[in-house]
Amino acid sequence: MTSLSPVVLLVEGDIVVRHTLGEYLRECGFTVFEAANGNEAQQALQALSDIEVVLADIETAGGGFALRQWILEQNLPVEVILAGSVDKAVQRAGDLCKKGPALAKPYDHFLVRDHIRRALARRDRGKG
Amino acid sequence: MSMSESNGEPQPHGARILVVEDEPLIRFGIAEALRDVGAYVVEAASADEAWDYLSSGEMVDVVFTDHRMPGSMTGRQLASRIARQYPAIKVILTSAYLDDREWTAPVLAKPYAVNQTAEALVRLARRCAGPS
Repeated sequence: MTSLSPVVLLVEGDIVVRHTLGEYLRECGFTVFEAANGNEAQQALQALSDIEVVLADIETAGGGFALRQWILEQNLPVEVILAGSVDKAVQRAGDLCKKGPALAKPYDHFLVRDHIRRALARRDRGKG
Repeated sequence: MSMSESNGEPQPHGARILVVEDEPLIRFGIAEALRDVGAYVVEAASADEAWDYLSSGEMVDVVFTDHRMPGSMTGRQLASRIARQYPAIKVILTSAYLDDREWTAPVLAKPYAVNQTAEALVRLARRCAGPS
């Protein structure tokens, strides 16, 4: 699993958020691996040496500060970006996208945020 | 997800496949192989996550799920639930522990050939999606 495009590891415990952000970043030209928690993220970082950026939700189990600390201890050459909320994660993904290799940016990150909100609301209604 | 210019709604295209696998490196491998052959791929780390995704109103053509996973549901239980609530979705199970149990969906033995499996899943998904 080697890639010519920059590789981002996305660490997020909610599948709706993770998938939507992952697709957005792919459209911005990144190769994206999606981890559902810190343990998966550690497995990915140990196995895949081409990961350059880790974008992690701080509330995901083992995925926030603990993961950053583990990365520091392992001395891995990756940039770690932490986000404390869905909105922050979307904003950070938007920032990454601006620097991404795709010349034509796919859509505004506010559309991503709105899509996530709608999907989460539908799911909550379904559970209610 | 891709967004249409007109309304900002996500417009999945091509074969839509939900991969459910708790081993991330196995999941990454089959997900990347599926993307390489043009599939729109959603990755779930458990059956519960997969159900969460479907409950959010997002649709797929095929679910490719491991059987033994942590959480409240096995892959087989997920397959049964999908058959009841989303009968149009085709489910393929995969497991390293094949036995003589009655499987509720077709089962692929692990380890599987990643590229051939990806191509077969995309063909299946396109058949399920029908002519576009």
